[in-house]
Amino acid sequence: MSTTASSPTRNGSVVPNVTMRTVTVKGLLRNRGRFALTAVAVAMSVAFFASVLLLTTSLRGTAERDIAAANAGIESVIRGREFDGELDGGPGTQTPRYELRTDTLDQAAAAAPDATLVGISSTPATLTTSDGDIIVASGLRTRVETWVTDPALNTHHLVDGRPPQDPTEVVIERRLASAEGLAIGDSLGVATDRAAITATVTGIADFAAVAGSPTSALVFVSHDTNLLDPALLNRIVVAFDDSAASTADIETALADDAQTIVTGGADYVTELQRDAIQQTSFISTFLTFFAVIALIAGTTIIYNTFVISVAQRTKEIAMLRSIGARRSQILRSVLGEAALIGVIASTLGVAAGLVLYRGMVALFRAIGLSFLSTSPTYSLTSLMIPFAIGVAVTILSALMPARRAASVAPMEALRDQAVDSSRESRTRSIASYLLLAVTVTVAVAAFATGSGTYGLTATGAGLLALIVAGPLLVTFTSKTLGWLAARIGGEPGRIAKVNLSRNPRRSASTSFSLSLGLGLMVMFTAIAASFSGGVADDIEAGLNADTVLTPVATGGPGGTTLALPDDLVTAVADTQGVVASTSLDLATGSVDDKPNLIGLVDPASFAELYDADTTAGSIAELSDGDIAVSEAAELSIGDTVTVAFTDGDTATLTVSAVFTRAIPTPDESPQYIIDRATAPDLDTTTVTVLATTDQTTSTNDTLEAAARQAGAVQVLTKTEYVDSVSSGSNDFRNFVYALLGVALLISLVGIANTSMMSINERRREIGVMRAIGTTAQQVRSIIRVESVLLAVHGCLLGIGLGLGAAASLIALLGGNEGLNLLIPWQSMAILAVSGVIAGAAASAWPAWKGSRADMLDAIASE
Amino acid sequence: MPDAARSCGADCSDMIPVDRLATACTSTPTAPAAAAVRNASKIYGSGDSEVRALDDVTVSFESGRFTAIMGPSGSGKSTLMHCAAGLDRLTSGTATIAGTDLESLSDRDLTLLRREKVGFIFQSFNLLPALTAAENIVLPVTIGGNAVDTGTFDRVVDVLGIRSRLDHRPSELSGGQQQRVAVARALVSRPAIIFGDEPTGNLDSQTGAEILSFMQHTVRATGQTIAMVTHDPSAAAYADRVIFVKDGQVVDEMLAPTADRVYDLMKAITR
Repeated sequence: MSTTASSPTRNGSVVPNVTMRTVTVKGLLRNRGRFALTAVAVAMSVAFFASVLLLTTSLRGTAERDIAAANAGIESVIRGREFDGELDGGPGTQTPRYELRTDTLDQAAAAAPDATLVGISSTPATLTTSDGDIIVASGLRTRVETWVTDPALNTHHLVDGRPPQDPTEVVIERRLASAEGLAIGDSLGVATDRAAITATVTGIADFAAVAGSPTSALVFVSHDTNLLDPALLNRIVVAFDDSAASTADIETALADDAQTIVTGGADYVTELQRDAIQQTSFISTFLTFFAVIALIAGTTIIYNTFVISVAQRTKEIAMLRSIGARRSQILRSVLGEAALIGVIASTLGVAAGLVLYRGMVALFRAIGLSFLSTSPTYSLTSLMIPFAIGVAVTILSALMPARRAASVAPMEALRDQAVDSSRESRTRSIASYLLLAVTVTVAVAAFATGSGTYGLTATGAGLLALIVAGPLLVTFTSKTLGWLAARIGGEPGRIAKVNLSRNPRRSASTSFSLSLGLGLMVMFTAIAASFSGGVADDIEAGLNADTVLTPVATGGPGGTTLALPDDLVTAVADTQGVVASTSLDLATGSVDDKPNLIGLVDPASFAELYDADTTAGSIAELSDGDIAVSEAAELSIGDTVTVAFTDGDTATLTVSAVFTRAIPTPDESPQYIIDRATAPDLDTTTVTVLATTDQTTSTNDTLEAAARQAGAVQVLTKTEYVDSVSSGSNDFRNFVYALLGVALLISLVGIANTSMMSINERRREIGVMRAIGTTAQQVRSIIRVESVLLAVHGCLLGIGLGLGAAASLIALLGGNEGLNLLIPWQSMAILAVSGVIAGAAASAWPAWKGSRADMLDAIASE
Repeated sequence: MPDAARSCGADCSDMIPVDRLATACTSTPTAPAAAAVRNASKIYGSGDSEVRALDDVTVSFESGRFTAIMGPSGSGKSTLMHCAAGLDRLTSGTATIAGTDLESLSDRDLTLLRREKVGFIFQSFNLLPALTAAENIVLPVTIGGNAVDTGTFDRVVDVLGIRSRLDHRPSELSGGQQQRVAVARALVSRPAIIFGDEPTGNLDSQTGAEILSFMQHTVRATGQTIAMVTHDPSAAAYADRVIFVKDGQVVDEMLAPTADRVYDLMKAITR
């Protein structure tokens, strides 16, 4: 079948061959404006989906390829054994390992003569420029590691310069160099909990094919550095070379040491790959989730467009039917239209996806989620899948409208101009009222009982109600909010109110995606606020110190806990004007065989500066052999727990205090606190220093100077500290916002699209209104108010559902941690206002277009 | 807008009930023009595709009179009405409504002028489908934020016999009922002039005749000014005066028309 094949008649004139396909294609071309926004929406959804898929494939590809390449020369690895079980915490939380000491290196070396064994030390570090500014390193965790001189055992290779040869020289990763504009010969401040030095960059290194290691930004130092503890190793890497020994020999030699583990090179690579993929799978799942949300938003737009366009073409379709087009031909024609739009938009979308992918990589870097330094892997599948999904979704969304088109009777051609006066079906009305009733009843029950299960049921029912009872809700909004709009906006407001409810089904499906996107935003915001807000409230209530020293966070979510150097603790204590000071150390260990964070304090001074609100016992009276536990641990005074530390020691401790407040740390709050004397030799991380001072400028200056000396440490007042805690998860929230922003943007294109199509439909009507004295300004107001009402409607429902979901989840998950729902009013207000502004923005073009409707054209007799 | 510019008909109907108006206004021999165009030209396109829809036309629609504009298809009669009503702008010449020069007005002021001084009755009724009959009727007044004169509203609604239909949507009304609502809409703001564009073109002849006699009655009883474009000689016969337009020019004029005379003249013109 050809669209344009024509056959000449005997006398030379050309008889065009008009097929159904000609009608479809020509119709589409004539109405391309109508479908432009739909195509944009499809393209946006596909682009988002494609970029997510590219990103996840690339992450995976990098993980597998680069890790294998970088570790190719390593034949055996010795590390501290992992504690059994998983440590609670966010993504990227590593299971704690026992410490690895240099004597293990000697033991292993003896078992494998002639082999090359290199002990690598590694510790978190903060980097500062020569101006003293802290280097954030794209949110990566910055670490100092020993430079391995044997190229086979070094995961990195020099691309420029030379290895570090003395304690003042460092080699840095290339991405660090390019991001921070560092070059060979530049000086760089490096601080760990052992020392702070000013080093000179002597070389630049790459990890395998890419410019950086998987999870950290590394700075390499020579073996004789004072930044690292010489006795403490991160891992020992082995190349057997000409040695007759093997991994098994080392394993045998270390068999008695239960705290070390020996892994063969291939297994080690597999393990690293698995870890890396696991880290990325979190983000992949997360991204895919948002891609699906974006797709749903896109689907509702396509659906709407076709519903409207079929309604507008009822006459045309009826005419085609009356001159002999079969139902199946009409169905195919509409679906063909959808397929054509799907193909064009998806092609554009995939292309835009490639661009968006680049942007997303940059975004992740910027907000600190560069789990992997990605080099793009453009696979055909990651481009074909979004394309296919885009086309399929477009066709499927058009299916129902297409069936409606096919059911148009030829008689309709004779009827007057179609005004959609379709009443909701009885079944739908009954289902709507039923669902709303269930939602309200269960929600009331949830409020009354505080049950998360009820709450979640109510939220689920509410979501279902949003779909089924959407038209009913729109009518309600039109009556209530519309009344308000009419009061404020006068006649244009009143007309907008009427217009909103004249096609409730269309309005409902338009606002649905907005509700969904905004609801999710609200849910994440409220949950995040409840978590950090609860901690902030605790700290505000419990903190008796006026000054807090805490590391500047340089990592992203789940990020770095940098250690405060021991020198700093002493310096604060010795500062004149400091009345009292105490420090909090963290260690990982296992409590009753479950990995956990453990806080180490000097009980008396800590209890003086921080009131953890004990319900039983007292932290101040904690002594060697005792342990204070958080309420959430569900232990009572007198219970005993067995604690294993990373240095191999174990201790049986008796619960002597139960506290309820969160402990002030930069990150996760420990549920166990012990006297520092219980584990005097343990390598711990000092995370917080609390002090009461005379609050004079000179004291503060001294503390500031000490903090600067120590590297990335900030000196905060109590208020500043509490604020910093409550905004703790802002990075994560912003990340979620950025993703949901895409979904919201698509919903707004949807509002613009529906608005635009309604304007086209109402061109005549607008012309009449203009003729009888409605100013262009008033026409714009009407269209704008309609959009804003729809946006507010969508926002309100979204906020309601989001809060419901958040409250329910908090009740379900946070119950045993004493979490309460904190409604972030400020964020809610910002979201709601943005919704209104966005609604107005979405109507800008339709409003302009509507106000320019040609009166004569509109009122001309048919 | 100076008050003096308002038409006599509009002023009178302010205070005097419909039935007692007959002699008060229409007897004025040289009524001022409710709307007029002078040396009006309207040119579409340029160069070869130039179409001269109006060619130096001068017409005035006197207050308190019912004028019909007739002409064959493409004669320019609709363009004349559009320009005189302030829906379209002239290429050259002047158009005035109630003494106000339209060409000098901004789009906004022109809209406000239409709102206050002009009523429309269209062939396809053009009621807003989302609004009820009552809401449609009062729209020209309320859109300006003004209160509807309930006396005028009641009178118009009762005279047109649409009281029982006020709460219905246009889709629930017959064509005749819809056009009555449209007529009510045009009357309720008591405009200086009402323009009709084939107001009976979509109605059966009996309903059309009812509407036309009502229009005629309104002019005679209240001094309302009406100008109506039509191609139907029997519709034109309801007017006080018929203007004949051909090729963008006014070619003839007839007072006290009858259907037969109009028909004959039309035939003569189109020949």
